[in-house]
Amino acid sequence: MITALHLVLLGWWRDRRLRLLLLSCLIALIVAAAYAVQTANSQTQAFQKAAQEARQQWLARGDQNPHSMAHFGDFLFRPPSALIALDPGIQARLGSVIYIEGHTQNVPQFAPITQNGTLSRFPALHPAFLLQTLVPLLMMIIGGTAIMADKSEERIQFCLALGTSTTSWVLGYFTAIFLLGGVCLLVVLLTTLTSYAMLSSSNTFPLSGTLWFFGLYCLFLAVIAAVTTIVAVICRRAQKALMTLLAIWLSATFILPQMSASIIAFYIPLPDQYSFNAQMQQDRQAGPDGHQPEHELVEAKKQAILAEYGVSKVEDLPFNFDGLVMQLDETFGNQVWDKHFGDLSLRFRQQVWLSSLSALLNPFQALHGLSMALAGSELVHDIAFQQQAEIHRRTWVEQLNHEHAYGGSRTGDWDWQANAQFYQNMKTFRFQPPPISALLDVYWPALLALLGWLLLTLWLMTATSARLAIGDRE
Amino acid sequence: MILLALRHRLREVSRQTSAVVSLALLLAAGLWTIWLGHARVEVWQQVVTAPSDTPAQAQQIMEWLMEGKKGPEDRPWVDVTQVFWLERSLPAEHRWIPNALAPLAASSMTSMPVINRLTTASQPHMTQSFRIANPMLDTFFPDVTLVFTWIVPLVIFVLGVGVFTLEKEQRLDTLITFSASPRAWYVWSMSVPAGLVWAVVMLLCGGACIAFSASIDESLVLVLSMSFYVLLWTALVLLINIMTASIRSASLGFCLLWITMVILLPSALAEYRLSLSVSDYGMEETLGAREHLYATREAGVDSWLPTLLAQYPASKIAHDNVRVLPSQLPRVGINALTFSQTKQQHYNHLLHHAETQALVDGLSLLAPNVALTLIMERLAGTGTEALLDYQQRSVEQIHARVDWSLAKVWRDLPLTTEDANELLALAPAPYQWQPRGFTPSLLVLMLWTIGVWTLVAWVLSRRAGV
Repeated sequence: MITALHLVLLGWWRDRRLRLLLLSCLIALIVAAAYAVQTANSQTQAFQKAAQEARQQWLARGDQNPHSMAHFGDFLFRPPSALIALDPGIQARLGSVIYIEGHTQNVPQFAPITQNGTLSRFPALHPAFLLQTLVPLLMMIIGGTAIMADKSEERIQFCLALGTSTTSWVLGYFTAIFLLGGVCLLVVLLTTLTSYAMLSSSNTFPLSGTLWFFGLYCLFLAVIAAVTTIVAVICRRAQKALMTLLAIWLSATFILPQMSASIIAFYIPLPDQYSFNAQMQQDRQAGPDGHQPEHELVEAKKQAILAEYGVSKVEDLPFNFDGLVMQLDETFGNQVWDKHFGDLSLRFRQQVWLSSLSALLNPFQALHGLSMALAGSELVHDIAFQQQAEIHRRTWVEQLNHEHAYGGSRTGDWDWQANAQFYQNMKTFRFQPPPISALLDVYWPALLALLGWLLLTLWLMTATSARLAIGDRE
Repeated sequence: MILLALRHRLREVSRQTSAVVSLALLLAAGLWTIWLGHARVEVWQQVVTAPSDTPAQAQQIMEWLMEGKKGPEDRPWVDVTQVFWLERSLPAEHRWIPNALAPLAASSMTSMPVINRLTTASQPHMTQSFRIANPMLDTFFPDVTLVFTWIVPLVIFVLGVGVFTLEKEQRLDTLITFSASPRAWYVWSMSVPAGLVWAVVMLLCGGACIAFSASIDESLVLVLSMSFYVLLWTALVLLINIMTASIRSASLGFCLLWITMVILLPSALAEYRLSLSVSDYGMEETLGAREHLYATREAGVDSWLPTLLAQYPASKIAHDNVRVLPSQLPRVGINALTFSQTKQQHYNHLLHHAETQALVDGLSLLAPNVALTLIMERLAGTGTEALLDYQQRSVEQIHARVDWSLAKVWRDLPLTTEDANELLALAPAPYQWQPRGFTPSLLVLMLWTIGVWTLVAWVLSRRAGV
């Protein structure tokens, strides 16, 4: 095997065109990796700056009426994950900022892709994109053509005649093709680590995450190397081998993901935004409105409170009844939101799970999902952000309503102001990425699929190795 | 000679299973993406043609005004005889009707609001898209533009990879070199795969134009641009075949070219553009607008009135004719000033888009697939250009409502059905993108095609002479 590996690598090294192709690819990878770290770094800085500005605006309000502050609102940010430089995934399509306010739940805003116009159609040139699409293509073309050239020139037959086995030759080819991808992967990781050390102000790069990333991509590259070897060993004509490899690449990177996405979207459809909003609004209108004291639920609450305190009108209560009405409004609004958004996020999760299941057919899709999950740039993280933001919003509004009710004002006194200290002491939002178990819940089929693909292709490779002896007969 | 070349190539192509399968796949992918695009546009169509509650709302308000009522009984603070409440209670719906060829670039519909409910407080640039999309699936949404720009070059290559190299392998090249017109042999030989791909593409284009009732002009632009694109990649494949000695080298050369032109160049620019747009999360203007709104609300009328009069000259004239400021001025005036901020934000977006567009236009000179994408997006009316144009029209409509509100405020009289009718008459007609701006991209495609074919002719003349 070592002899075969040595001969294959030597053959590649002597080919000037291959050297040029490999060099161009490595340069593209280095540039993309360094640039991705720089982008991630500026993202982190932008996040810190924006969060700081929003916080300053909040604090600068000083003494204010709590309900006025609920309308003023606050911004919650999802910081970019440390591994986002390796795989930004769909982060550009998701907003990282949620505006929170009283009475209303909002969705993330300011997705960078909305500002890109025509360019949003094209995939961004980041390390994961290159490692998932271009490096496999490179491995297929260089590896496939090398095996076919050796077959057509009957070099293999000559070596086999000297006593080496076909299995060791096949393993040699496999290792050489895998090493080709491995070099690209190492270059990406080393460039990322170096750029991170040079550019980032943070000293802690998540090494364990990087190692997982490395392991995952090694599995994937091994599958690609095995597939390339199998096709080149089986095919008799160079043109047929190339076309087959090209067809596999095109199907796996382009056709299958799009087909499965279309099927999943058809099978689990999502409502259109307007009917979703209309239904929510309809349900919401059935409940109390904090600014509409005549509602029956508000009236019932009022009567109960008046009876409890033994007074005849809300103005005589020792606290501000308006704050309680606002909280009634919130509680009802939360129930409506939970119903509609819960259903929607369930559909999202089902879609992601099915997408992960479709990885059984396609190792490219398996890696795609796992890589994004590892980098924290996919939908499960986004849903977690929205859920955590909503939990924070509810506590935030409840605190404001509580202050409104029991802070010292009386019913109808809208000019009363809580002091600035109260607003300063309100808890700030910190996003906690979902635990690995939550990710595994969704992505275990993808992980299993990748391992399964590796075992299957390795077995097929050894099973078909005998065909290497059959040269190019045409 | 020509007949010989054609017959020889046709026989070669028909023998290749991969060639036949590729053509069938191209046809299938085209039909499938047309269907997918159509399904997405149908949702759009359903949304914009869905019955609206606005006429019933208007009817209700008219009744209140005629009966001398101020508004709903359960909301005593609403008073439709006042400008602020009437304007808020009678929003106008600005609907965006899809273009005939919208299905061709359906994946550009990433963030598309298609109904704007217009009041003086609306922010058209913040309206939500008509679709709730799962971005993990949306990333992979295929459309006809993608099939044409990515797949067509690959199919031309699969069908035409043997031209010249195959002749060499079959030892036909010596015969061809000594024939009367060797250049014609190769060109006509390549015309078979090109013609087959062109026929499939035209079938798809023609089918789409007829099925979606596209205008003659739109159909012509589509046919012309696709013909140039097929011709261009035919020339590129021929050039690679001539310049390489084996199928292996031709494959390597083509892959390198395809990856660079179709993937790397646009992707590199997309990454660059993304890195620019993450600079401030779009927060600066949002935080600034909120700060401005609250500062205006908390300040007295005297502090912001000069700004209002400067921004709305009609108000200046009205102001000079009154002795006491109208009681409704604070609410409506603050709305008008907030709208000025919204307008400014919209213009900032237009400027930002103009910068991005300049980058894309520059890139289309290097990558013809970007030029074709631009043509398709402009034909379909689903790109950012169309979106900003729609938002611009909405902003203009809001401006008209702001002017109406200010005029009524300065008059300082309770509003009547006549005023409500006046406001209803401001409702905009549905918007539809007028396809335009094809000439630069078509020119780019044409120049590329002529340039590469000239290069092919030059290289062939040098090779044929050897």
